[in-house]
Amino acid sequence: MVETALLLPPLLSAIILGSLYALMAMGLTLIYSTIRILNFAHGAFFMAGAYIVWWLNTPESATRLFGTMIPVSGLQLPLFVAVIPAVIIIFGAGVVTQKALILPLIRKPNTLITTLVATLALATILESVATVIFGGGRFSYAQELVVGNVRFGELIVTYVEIIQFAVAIGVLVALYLFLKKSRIGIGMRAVAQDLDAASLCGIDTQTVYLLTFGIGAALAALAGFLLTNIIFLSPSVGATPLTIAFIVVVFGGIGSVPGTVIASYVVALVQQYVTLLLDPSWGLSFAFILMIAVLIIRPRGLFGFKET
Amino acid sequence: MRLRTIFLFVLPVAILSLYPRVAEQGYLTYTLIVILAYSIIGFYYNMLLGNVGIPFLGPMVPYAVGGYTAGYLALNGYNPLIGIVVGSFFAAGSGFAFSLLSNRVRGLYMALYSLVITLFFHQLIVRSDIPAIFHIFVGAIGQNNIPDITLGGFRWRLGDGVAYYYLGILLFVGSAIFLKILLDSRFGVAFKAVRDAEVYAASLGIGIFRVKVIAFLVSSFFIGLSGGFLTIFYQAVGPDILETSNMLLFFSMVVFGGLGTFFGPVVGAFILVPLNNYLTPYGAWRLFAWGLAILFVVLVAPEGAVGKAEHLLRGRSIRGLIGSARAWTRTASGTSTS
Amino acid sequence: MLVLENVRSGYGQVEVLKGVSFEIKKGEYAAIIGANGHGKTTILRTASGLLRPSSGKVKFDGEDITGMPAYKVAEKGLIHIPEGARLFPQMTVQENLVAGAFAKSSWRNKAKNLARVYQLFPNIAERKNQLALTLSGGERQTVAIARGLMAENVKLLMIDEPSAGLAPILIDEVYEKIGEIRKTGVGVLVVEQSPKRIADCDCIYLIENGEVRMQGSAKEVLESKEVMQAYLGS
Repeated sequence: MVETALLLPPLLSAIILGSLYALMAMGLTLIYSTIRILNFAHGAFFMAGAYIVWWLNTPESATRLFGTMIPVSGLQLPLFVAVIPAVIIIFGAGVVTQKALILPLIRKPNTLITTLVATLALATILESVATVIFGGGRFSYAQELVVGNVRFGELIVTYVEIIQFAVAIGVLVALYLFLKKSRIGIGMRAVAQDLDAASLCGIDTQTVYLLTFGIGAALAALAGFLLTNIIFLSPSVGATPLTIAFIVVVFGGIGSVPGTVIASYVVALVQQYVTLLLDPSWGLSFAFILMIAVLIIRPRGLFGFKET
Repeated sequence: MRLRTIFLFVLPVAILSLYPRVAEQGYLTYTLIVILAYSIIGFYYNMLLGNVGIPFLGPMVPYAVGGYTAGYLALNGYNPLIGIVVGSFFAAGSGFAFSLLSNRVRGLYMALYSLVITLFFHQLIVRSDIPAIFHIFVGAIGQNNIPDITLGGFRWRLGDGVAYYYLGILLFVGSAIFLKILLDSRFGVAFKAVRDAEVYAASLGIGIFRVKVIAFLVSSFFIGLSGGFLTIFYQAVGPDILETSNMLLFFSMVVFGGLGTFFGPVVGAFILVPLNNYLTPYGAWRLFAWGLAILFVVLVAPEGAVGKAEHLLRGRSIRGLIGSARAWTRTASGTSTS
Repeated sequence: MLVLENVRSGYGQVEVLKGVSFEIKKGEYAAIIGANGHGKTTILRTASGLLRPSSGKVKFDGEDITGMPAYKVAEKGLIHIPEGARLFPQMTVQENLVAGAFAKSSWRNKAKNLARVYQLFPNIAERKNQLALTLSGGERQTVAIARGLMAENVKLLMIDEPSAGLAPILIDEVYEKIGEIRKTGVGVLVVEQSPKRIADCDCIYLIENGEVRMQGSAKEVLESKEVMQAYLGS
């Protein structure tokens, strides 16, 4: 039998990872529930946020790779400072995307397919730009966010993990409060639940759309920053997080905020325990299998609404 | 036969058939073969997406199944042509599996599920310890050194692959004719009914699920056919065909040409394949240019090249194109109301 | 207050309103009647900005609001309570009401407006933390009207079928409330099926085939031959 001591570390990892997954998937859910489109460029925003932080933070001395110089800003901002402009810039990118790409397509037929293609094309563009500027190599942040770890008996938790968890949870809680109490948050929820009625209440739906997309993109960028502290950065770094986000929203029900949160932890748990019991490469596959089970039993996910 | 069909279809095919006699460049033959193969994929993916209206994001799966099966059989001593045929049937089988999905979900959920299942499939076959049933996919390496077709006693690769060229034309014409017949038949009507008014169609007694199954079976068959053909032609196949970059390629063909038009995908293939080849040496810039081009088409001319051509022929002018571009900038700057 | 000049409007290729003109004066109590599908709801949707007229003008309080987006129209004081209440299902009653005060001028005074609305409709005050989708039909209608009144300066309230699906006693209550609202000087325009309820309207418009077939005082219209014909059996 597996000892309890072995069962705890995956649980811990699942809690931390689940929070990060929730952060990542939340942007996708918010955008879908309010604007009703699937943002394929979500992973690209994740990647772009991480690259901006890297660009702001990395010293020039660290950038000579294989004889070529990779461009950096040379500003060497500390990581926790660099994340702020990165998130703001990606927020702006989200707003621009909504205005320039999505809005024109919503009014035309075949919205689902055209926005899919458009966001996929955007993702391709962003990835190729990243490759052109930074090359296809894998990077990591020049220094650790925080060094050190903490022991709880048998368990070791790094400070980085604590920060990841704290920031993810903090942002999610802040988001919850924002949606629940603030004027714009209520406006966003209203638009998500009934577009016409929201307009009649005086809610400027176009502005809500812009903000929603911006927030969704910003969440992806933040998730990008947090995760890149423990994984390598490359132009295609956003692919797996995007896949996981898709699984999460399918499982939790796309458009449902609580569903997304719960599904994130479930997926993380499945991944971690499968990794423990089998091997890491099966972790994601089991999450997929879980999703197929959902498909058979309850196609719209745990908390999803029926497709109208 | 209508004059338009003759002009648009028979004539170019006749000209294409004469081509290898006239030209010497093997590279152009190569490109044309690829264009023909992709046109077949385009025809049937367009049918599924545009005519039946199912947002299916996994056409790479039947493509892969057809390709790998053909390759596997060829590697194991069977005539590659048989491999292509068998591959098509297996591809249709994979299409059937996806059609079961269409009974449970539609719209966005169909898109999501089909995408995630495809990604899953990709994950599965790249492993080194894949389950036996996926044996033919032989992991990340893929299949290489697939033997050539040797029907009629000579290697088909001789003479810059002219034999492949003619096979390609044959398959292309065959699949195009089949598609035309299918769309003109009551199935075509049923497809449109399912796309535009599913509930109403059901109330008329049209078996919705049956129609979707047939749509998946047929489109997967031909996509697999093309996959098998290309695999034998390239003499290799690998798991990269399941990646989203390939999905983008298939999508762009359909979108460029025009979702729901008949010849759209052919035009799309004729534009994209050479474009792709031309841009390959530019590395990441290729993807950049491509993404930009697709974005442009989707925003300014979502009805695609053929759709736009149809507009032009109906009396509207080049102004129409500029008008669309203007319309885009207008909506983007928010001067029209919600 | 609200003026429609030769308004043509519809959905895509289908034209529903074929040149509708009328005027509702400040503080007036007006009604639009007519058989289903003839354009009553379309008139309201065009006036409130959910639909854009293909031709003609819409003016409110002297200002041309043709083509103005719905949220701006609501800010001007023209409030449309849509058919079927259309509450936000996942929000509580209070959250729905607060959403109604979204406009900046209304948001500042939302506490005050909330108190005012609770006073006017005490039965929903009890249910303020209940989710909207658990409410009964009558309660939903009440909340919908209350939500519309959360705006800061409502000048004209347009209610689409306030009696739809309600038991007669509830309909009485709704119209009683409408009476109270009118006392505060707010104009009311109702779209109604049943001619019985609108007998004390200042002005009634009969809509047929997307046109104003007849208009006049309540007495004139309700006793006319046309209306008798239209409502045979009602």
